[in-house]
Amino acid sequence: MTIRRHPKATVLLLAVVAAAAAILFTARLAQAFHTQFIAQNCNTNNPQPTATFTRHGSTAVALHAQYEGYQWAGGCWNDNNIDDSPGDQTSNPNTGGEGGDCSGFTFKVWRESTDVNDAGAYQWNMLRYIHGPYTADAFRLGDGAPNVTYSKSGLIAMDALASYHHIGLIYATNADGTDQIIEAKGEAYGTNIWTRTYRGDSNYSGVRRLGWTG
Amino acid sequence: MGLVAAVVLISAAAVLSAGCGNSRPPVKLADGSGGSPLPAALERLGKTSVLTSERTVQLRTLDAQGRACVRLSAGRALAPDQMLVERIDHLGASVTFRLRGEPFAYGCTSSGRSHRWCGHFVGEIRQGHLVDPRLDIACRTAAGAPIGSAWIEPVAQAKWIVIRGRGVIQIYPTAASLPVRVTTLSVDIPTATAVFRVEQYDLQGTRVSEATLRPAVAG
Repeated sequence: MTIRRHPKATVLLLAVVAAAAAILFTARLAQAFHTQFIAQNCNTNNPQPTATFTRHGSTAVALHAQYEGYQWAGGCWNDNNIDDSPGDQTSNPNTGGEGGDCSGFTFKVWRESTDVNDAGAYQWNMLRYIHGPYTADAFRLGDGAPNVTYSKSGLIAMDALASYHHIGLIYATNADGTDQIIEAKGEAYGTNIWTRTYRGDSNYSGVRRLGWTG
Repeated sequence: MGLVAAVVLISAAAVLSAGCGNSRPPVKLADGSGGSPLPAALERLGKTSVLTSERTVQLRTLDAQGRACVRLSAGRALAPDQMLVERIDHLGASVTFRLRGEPFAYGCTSSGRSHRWCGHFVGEIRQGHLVDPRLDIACRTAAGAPIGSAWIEPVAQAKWIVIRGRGVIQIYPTAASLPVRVTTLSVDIPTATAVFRVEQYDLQGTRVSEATLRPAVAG
């Protein structure tokens, strides 16, 4: 029996295989940074107004985010001590991953309102997907009713140090003058506590949230 | 005589109503002006369009609040002859500027006729492009509606950036290789996001780009 050669069919078959491979590769890539964390885990529930909010309480809120992920314009997290969406595209608000960005993290820890004229305190659940109206630069300048600029020498735990494009919260002060900063640092780092010299960096300014009751 | 007068009156009313019923007040800029005539290449965009103003000014020409906003945005006092691109659109005004040797774009926005400077922003530039449009939602109209503003980077051939909004089409000339600050009323405060329907046109009026952008307050 003679097997006839069909060049066109061969080319077509190779093209189909190549296309299928490309589709699979792209799908796996998409899966790598589109983990659907927000869609599958987070909510848009209303916050709970609270008459009392303390620095100790906000520290506890912040620690729920430690070891979690980072999401540009985020966000929400689940306190399982794992970055559930590592390796997302940076500076992309649509990757749907776990974590806040630096200003979103600060907004939730400081229990602020989406209304910039409201200095009241609101408890946002960690799985509530919210960023808030402030960028790091807005915090730096003390924008909004809850926020004021503050002398760096007087900053204490749960005050913040902010630059044009980053903000971190003081967790503790070290004896050598550096600070342990809890911050949503970036996609490659997630959210955690690091020793930083922001206080001595002229690019950073002090920021305080008003209204602490303890 | 009474019948003639009635016919004249009815005819006059018909003429007036035909004109009034079919005309819309022209779209105005925030400074109350009607803006310059539409470029011929974009006249087809229609009567709900307005050509926003754009000019390069020195910092000294801003009022005291504007200069204060620029100082906030830049983080320092600038020389009075610092050049800024000033734009006036339907909802307010903006200034955008860069400082020599710095990988940032800086800017401020004001709202409405009161010209209250209400928004400021800094955008990091990497490899020649903004990392993020730096959405700002701090400004409000006189009626209290939130105004979203963001930077749009012109594509290579773009002469105008067009933003299609609610009942108004705003046309922004590109300038000085700077990103163009544009505005929208399509703002969602709870999610801190906004929607911009963006079209870009070349000198001949050919649309060279079209996109719906949904930036979020971030970073």
